[in-house]
Amino acid sequence: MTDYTDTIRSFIENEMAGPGSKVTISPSDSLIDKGIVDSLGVQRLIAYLEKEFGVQIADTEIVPEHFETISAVAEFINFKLTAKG
Amino acid sequence: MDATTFTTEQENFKQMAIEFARRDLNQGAKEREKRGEFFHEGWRKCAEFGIPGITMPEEYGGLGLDTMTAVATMEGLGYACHDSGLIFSLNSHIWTCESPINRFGTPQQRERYLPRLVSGELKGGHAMTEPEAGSDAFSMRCRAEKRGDRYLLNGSKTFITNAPIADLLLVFAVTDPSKGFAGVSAFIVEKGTPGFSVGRPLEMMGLRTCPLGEVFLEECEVPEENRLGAEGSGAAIFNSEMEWERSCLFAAHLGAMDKILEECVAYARQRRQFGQPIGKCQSVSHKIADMKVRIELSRLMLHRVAGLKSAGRRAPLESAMAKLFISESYVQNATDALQIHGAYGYSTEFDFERNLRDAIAGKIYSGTSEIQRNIIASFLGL
Ligand SMILES: Cc1cc2nc3c(=O)[nH]c(=O)nc-3n(C[C@H](O)[C@H](O)[C@H](O)COP(=O)(O)OP(=O)(O)OC[C@H]3O[C@@H](n4cnc5c(N)ncnc54)[C@H](O)[C@@H]3O)c2cc1C
Repeated sequence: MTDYTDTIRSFIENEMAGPGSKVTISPSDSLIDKGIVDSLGVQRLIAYLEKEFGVQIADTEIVPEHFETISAVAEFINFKLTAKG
Repeated sequence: MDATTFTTEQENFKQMAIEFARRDLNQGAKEREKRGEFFHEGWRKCAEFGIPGITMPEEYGGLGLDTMTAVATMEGLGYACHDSGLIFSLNSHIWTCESPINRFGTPQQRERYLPRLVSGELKGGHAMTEPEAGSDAFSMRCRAEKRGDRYLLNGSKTFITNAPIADLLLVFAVTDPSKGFAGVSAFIVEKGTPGFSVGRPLEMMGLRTCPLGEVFLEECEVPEENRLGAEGSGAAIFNSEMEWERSCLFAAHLGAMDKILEECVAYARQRRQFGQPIGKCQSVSHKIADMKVRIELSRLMLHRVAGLKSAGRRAPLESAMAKLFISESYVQNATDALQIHGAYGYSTEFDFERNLRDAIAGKIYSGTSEIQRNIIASFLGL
């Protein structure tokens, strides 16, 4: 199983934490509590994940458990890629 | 070359919608608009025609057709129907209630509600906006506290389309205040549920035949089986609804713009001042040329986004751009049409001033123009 944590972290730090910001986010930090992912941000994140990993994410899969932390996102992507075969 | 991307079947649907609106929906529209009166009989006829069920599965009584057919039908209605409030009401019913229940509902929820939403027996809508939470919708205060196998809803909502006539509303409320937007869930709340009440209809500038109202939830007990989607799915449901609405509802604006353009061209050819048709004045003809350009760009954007949705694709950026451009084009074209018709345009005897009043709402509902620009900027990484 490939670990996509760094790829996802790089997108979230560079693209979502605010342009030009130099924040570092640990894989277990809450993206919601830190205000990094909001209701609009989650749409950007999903669009990125679909494009980057070639997966289709159903609306019903957009639940907090899947985007609460970078680790949760990485785990979800692994699950999607495994299911895709 | 015709800029439309409709198939023959879709084009036929559009033509049928035009004939239907002319025959069954326009009588008395002006008087109803003045009185701010909802057209119940028109609703029933639209349901009979199949409008609420165009894209719904056949097992629930729908026609099971694709998104482009829905767009074609809405274009036809926008073109020919003088009762924009009725069309708006139908669109809210479809995209913010029926369609999310179809996409997020359990088999039991779909079975319970969809057949009657499709047949038009039930009218629906959704309740997100609150007095203190408009564009910043997820700062809502409305709470849903879990008590055993039920939720207790408390709070109030405002500017809710269809509220005064709705049989059920999709109500968004906070289930976990520590999670911000991710702590919002959606509930199907039926009229008559104890603790659920609706205020008097709100008087608005346009879309006057579509009832809007406040909703009050006081210790309103909703069974767990009426929660739509998982706890915390409110944002996904709301975002999905908005994407569908932005992709399809504005087809009615495109239809209305097509009609207005035809009227402007005819008037500019026939109205004579200073010994010539006013269309010979460049300031008039250029206005009309710009109207035409906005219409064709709107068509391209709308059909592209409807095509993406038809193909089962996500289109948050594309739907925001289409909504922004079409709603603003409609306001501009309605303003120019009024100017081209001079005092006749300003007179309430004709439909130009009504079109302008109706058009302005499109820059506010479904996310304001400013919010669409924020979405676009955010997708650009700004
Ligand atoms: C005809 C109609 C039907 C509606 N139907 C429904 C319905 O069925 N259900 C429902 O829940 N709601 C409904 N609404 C409410 C609608 O969703 C809200 O009006 C809309 O989201 C804006 O909220 P607001 O009116 O509180 O304005 P505010 O959010 O207070 O905004 C005021 C102004 O500030 C601007 N602004 C706010 N925040 C920002 C920002 N971050 N950046 C730039 N500009 C900003 C806005 O664009 C606007 O110009 C309806 C509204 C109308 C007019």
